[in-house]
Amino acid sequence: MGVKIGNNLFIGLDRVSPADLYKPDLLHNIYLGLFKHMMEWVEGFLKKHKQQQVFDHAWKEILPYPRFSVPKKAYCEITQWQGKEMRNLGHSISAVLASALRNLDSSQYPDFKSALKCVSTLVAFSLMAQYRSHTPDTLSYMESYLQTFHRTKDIFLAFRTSKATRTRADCQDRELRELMADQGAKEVHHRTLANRCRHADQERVERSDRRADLIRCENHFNFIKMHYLTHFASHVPRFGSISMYSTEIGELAHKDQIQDGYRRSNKNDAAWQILSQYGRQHPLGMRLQTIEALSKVKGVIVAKDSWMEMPAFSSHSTPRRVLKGRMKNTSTLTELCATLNIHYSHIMQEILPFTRQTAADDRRLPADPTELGLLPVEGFAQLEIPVPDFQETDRFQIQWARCTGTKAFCNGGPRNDWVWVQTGGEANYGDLRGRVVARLLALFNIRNILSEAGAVHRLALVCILDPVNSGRFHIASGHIRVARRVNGRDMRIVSIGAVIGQAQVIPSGERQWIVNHRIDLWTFNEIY
Amino acid sequence: MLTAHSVPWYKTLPAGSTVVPIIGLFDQTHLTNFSGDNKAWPVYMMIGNILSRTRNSPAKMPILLLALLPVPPKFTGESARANEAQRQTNADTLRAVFDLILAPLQPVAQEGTVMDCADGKTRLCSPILSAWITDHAEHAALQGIGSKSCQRFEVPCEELGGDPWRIYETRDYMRYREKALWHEPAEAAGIAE
Repeated sequence: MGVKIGNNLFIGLDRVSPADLYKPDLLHNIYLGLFKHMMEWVEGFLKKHKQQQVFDHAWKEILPYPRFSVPKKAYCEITQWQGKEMRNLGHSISAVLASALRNLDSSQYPDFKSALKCVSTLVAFSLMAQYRSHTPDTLSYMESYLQTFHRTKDIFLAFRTSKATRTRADCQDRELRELMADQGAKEVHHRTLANRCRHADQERVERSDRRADLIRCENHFNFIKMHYLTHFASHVPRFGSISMYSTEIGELAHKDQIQDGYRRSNKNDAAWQILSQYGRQHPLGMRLQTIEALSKVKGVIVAKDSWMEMPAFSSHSTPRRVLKGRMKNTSTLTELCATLNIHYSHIMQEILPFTRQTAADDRRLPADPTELGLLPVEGFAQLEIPVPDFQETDRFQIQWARCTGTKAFCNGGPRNDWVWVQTGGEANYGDLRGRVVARLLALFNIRNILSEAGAVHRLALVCILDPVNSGRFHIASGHIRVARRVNGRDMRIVSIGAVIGQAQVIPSGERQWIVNHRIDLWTFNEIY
Repeated sequence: MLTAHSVPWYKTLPAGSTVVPIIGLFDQTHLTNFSGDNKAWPVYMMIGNILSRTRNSPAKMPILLLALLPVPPKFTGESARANEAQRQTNADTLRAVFDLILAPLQPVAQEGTVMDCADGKTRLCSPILSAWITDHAEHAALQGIGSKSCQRFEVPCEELGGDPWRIYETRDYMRYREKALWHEPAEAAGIAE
């Protein structure tokens, strides 16, 4: 509670309600606040169950993904976190944790389940809070996530020991030990050695019990960042989306307005110089923007009273998928296979069923393997996939899926990215809704010079993973798992139009992967 | 600043007038490690009538630097009393500076003022402070509440991390202020709501 009465600076302003000036703060409250706390709890949890090594290993294995920087170090080696890194961490933590805790025995199973549930719901809540527009449904989801989080968070209570509590526990421990030593000294002469040992063991057990009791009583979740979560959902109907009021914008402004000004000042009487520096920059910047806006708009009608009319908004067309990074020595299918180290018969086996599926017109590829082998081919290393920005209609985010075959990518290992491939209708594959996770093996286009149309087919050879449990969520880990096909052919030729975006999967044991559907808003919205 | 003719926030504006929601930002930034850790405390301002996408892009320059607050010296740590005096001075300075910053808002929020708008029209605008975006520590300093308390509701300390669906009373800062005026200053300092 604690109010320093009369100190509120906003009181007495007309039409201002000081209690409503507060806006939820994603950056400090969630990324730098609760995620940080959560990582401490998770660390404690892993330590208790002796799974740190597995977690570190899984953490290092995270694969590249657009707008996601891959961790270069093991988790325990990182000492300082930035806001952006914390956000990255939040988006992949639940899947990594699920992977790290996969082979616990049955006694640890309930703990593992509720810990994972707690972490996942907090991450899901933070993702929902970033939505640009909300409906009553999304708000009720947010509230239910928060309730689940509060219900399951007690699993981490043991790891929320503050410094003060620890000191008190140590103090109590010392007192108890002295007390017991005094008692022991009185009775020591009529005891055998074995008796004494047993007695010491009993004392030790009692001390640790007392310590655990004290810690259990003292630990709590009552800190302010925990409470602010309750205001997130109710803020939206009154004031609009949460990401609108980001504190990040203020911190970005420091760079232009304060730090540049300070750099240009003589450091002596900096405040005045900072103030006047931006005073000069701002009008110039505004003027430049006005000129730019005016030059862009064609057919501006400048009426007498300088009244400006904007032209009708032109609709953007969807950008196309583009193949880039042509590979050398890939002019026929045989050469392509040699370069990428794929068996020629495999690719031929796949391309024929693909041809049969396409419509029978003169664009169709020939069905004869020898004719196919003669057609000119170009191999590529990169596929640009435009993915519509979440909750936007005319903005696209470009994802670059790489497929370098056996060649190294940027001084690292070869990159053959994971992608989502649309194969069947919405009803297939359970919660994946007709999408499958696949690994890009080759990207190429093939020109049908034998027919008159000379159509170019842009194709991708992918290795398809089967969803475990027919694509339903695995109840214990809360994730969908995919596995490599044990027998039967797993390669498939698809047109690049069927590749709908990149996927992030995290290895989880032999030939199994966990789909991380909380990596970004788009994936999160599609699979939940 | 509490005056007799204050208009409460819920009273309606004259018909046809435009609200200009003013969004304040306040954050501390670090300038240099040299010459004794220079810091700056800027107060920024922007208006809510700008589309949020434009408002959130630094290249569009929507943010105006309003003031640089005086940075208080570090606590000497010599004695508790010196620290307490310093703290009091800091609070008083902050209050004086903010009175100065917010003073131009007072008459226009009440009456409204005629402004030129970007589309070439002139409108009767009422600039009203409606959001203040900072992190929790600075909010607590400005609103005069303890660092463990919520700005919106009166929540007991033991329930901060608990069941979120209990209804709490919204903070009524006016009432706190009135209470403070009733009490003797020495007594008022000790009261914690």
